[in-house]
Amino acid sequence: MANSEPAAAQSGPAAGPRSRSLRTLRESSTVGLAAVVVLVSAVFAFIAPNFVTASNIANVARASAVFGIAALGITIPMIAGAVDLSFGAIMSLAAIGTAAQLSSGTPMLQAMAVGLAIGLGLGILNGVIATVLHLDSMIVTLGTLSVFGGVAFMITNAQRTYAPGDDFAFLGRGFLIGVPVPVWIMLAVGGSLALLLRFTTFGQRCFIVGDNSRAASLSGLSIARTRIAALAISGVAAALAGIVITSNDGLIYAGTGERYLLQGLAAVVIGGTALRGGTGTVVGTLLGIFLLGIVDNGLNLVGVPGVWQDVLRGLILIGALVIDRLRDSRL
Amino acid sequence: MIPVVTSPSLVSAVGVTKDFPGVRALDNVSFSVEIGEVHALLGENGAGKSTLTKVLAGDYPPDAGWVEVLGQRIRFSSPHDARRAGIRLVTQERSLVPSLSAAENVFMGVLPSRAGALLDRRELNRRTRAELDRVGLEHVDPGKEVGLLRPAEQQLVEIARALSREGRVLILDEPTAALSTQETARLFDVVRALRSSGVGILYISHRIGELRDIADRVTVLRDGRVASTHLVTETTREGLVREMIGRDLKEMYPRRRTSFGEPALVFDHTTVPGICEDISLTVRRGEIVAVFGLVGSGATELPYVAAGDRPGNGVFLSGSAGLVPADRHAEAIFPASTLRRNLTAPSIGRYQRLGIYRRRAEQAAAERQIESLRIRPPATEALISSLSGGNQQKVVVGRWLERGADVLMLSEPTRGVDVGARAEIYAILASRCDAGAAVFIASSDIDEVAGLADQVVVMAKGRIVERLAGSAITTERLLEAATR
Repeated sequence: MANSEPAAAQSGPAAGPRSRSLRTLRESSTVGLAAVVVLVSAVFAFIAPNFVTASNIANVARASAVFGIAALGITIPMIAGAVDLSFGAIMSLAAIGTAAQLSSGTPMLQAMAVGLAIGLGLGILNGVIATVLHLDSMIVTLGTLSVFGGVAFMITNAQRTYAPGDDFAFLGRGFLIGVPVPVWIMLAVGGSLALLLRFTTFGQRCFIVGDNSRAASLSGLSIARTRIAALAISGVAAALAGIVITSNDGLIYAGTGERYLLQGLAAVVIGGTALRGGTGTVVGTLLGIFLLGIVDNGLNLVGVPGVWQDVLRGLILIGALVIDRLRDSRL
Repeated sequence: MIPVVTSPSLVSAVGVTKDFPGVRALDNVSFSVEIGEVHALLGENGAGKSTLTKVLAGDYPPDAGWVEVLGQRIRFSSPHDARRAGIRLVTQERSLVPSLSAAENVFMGVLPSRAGALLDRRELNRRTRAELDRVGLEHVDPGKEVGLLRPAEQQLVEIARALSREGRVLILDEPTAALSTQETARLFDVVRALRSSGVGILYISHRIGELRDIADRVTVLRDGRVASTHLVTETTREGLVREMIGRDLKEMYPRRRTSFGEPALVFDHTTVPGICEDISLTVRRGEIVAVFGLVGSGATELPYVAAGDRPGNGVFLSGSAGLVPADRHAEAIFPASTLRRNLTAPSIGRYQRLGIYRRRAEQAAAERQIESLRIRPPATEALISSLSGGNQQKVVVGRWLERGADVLMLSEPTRGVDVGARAEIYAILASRCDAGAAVFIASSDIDEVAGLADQVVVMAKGRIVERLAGSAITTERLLEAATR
């Protein structure tokens, strides 16, 4: 029974005005963002004479890379429908761990491993609290942001922790083939995460779980496993970002990482990752990172006071949210 | 009620044509609703029903033709013009604010005030009382939060709101889709009362069976054109279906099966607090078992219990289970994903080799299901939301076929699904049964249960009140048991 003719007729009018393919939609917004980055760069190149110099470009790149590594990390849980607001505090706490190890003479790789393990542990903790207790991850990580940050102040007594060693300093201050090392690290993190999303079933699960967690759960997928793993990844990335800052500065204070909260979040949202989950790209986040870095630096060069930059960053974040909403309503 | 031809129609579309990029949604459609008439509009998804209602409601300006109200040609520049002309659209998408009271929802935007600014709550409640009574919601307190009402009650609140503002033409888009038989009967009483008060009603439904009870005339749309307009008394179900789909639908329901295998799903004195009590039933391989019950009977929830989403004692399952949930939008569809991914989500762990995800394997799987289930459009990368409800539902069923599920559990399997796709879904279920699957459905659609099931349990208030099998399954006996 039921031949194919009527089914073919059905696809007509109902599908008509909306039958755009998903990929075109996403690609067009990434290309649009890339165009914005180019346009903003062109404007600053024109009005800020020192913008297009090798040393300035290296500065922009290095400054962006620091919070960029963390922003790339939180892209993963956000795609899976879990927002990680605690990454800044994880940066601080993990960096303090690494710095303390270095100060007491632990070899560099081992000290870094301690920091990364701290990030992994805190990320898993975020995931377990949110999924096992069925709480909103945004609120959970707002809580752990405060908890982790508080612990960082307690264990350091609000004193700086030095991170000695020339090898270690190379991570934050060095150059490789003329490009700052933090940029290489950021690109490596971005590349790995892009591959993870694209070429593993875990990456595909992140999209499914973020798109509709109820439907995913009724489809037999484990929301908890996917989100805990995703938050663990952002924990490790945050730890790495903290280590790079420490290497660059030669020391770390409690509260350092928390300063990057807004920029990190803004980069991801500007990059087109939906706050409600289910869509997002690593390339988008990278473009978001560059855009924020360029705007910051350009305004500096033009002589706009620092307080205005805070205002502008906030406005860019809100603007990105508006675009996120518009994009959402088109689906 | 025979329409009076001499006086002008209450509302009419005259030669309306509407184009969307690449498709003509309406092609020279002429159609009218008379004063005191219930005019039903039938058609498959995509036939142009919703486009026509949107033209009448002023949402879309026609590309050719016009709309008349009482013989006066209307220039709709916005939906406000249609509202001023007395045209009220009640769609399937709920527009109520769940956190506000019934009264606030009904009179939203026109809340009565005292001294210019203060909300006159007593007056508001008094007027809401009258409006709620009119739609059969005598038991609902005007101050009650709308989100706490059952879906059927929310629907009636929505109708009350449409009527509260001097509506002359009421467009009801599938008003009974989520209603039980009892609630449908109550809604029909309301509609008849409105008709005798001179309101014209444009009634859209997929349920051909109910048109005889409520409509005066019926117009069938097919591919954007008017296929026919009849007095309902002069129509037959078969004739209407033929006009809708442009061919004979030989059998809506597949032939009943006769031999069954081993038990695949067993409820043994299962109790889930707040849902069901002491349920015992067995679904064998090769068998379709339906649980039938009105809204609130707990029937809809049983597949969730079987699937372990609502854990209960004494549920035994052998085989690979797949659940098709009742609320397609909230519980089944991945709205930001492609048709491909919606077909493959439960099987995503399979498309890999040595831990590397293989897009090509997923693609091939999706293409296979699209072809065997005749999903339209046959485009793996299409947005799932660009598919008709019927095709979306085929996708949700198809994802379990792809997973290899052989115990299929479906809650309201054809809600919001047009008649062509409905028959296809029934055929798919029957063919899975023939291949040794066990099928368990929960439905409040009495025709579906009577037509499809080999065995039926009827539920009321969480308990089984009747068991029917084979030829003993008739709509009369089902209805009698469910309302007992």
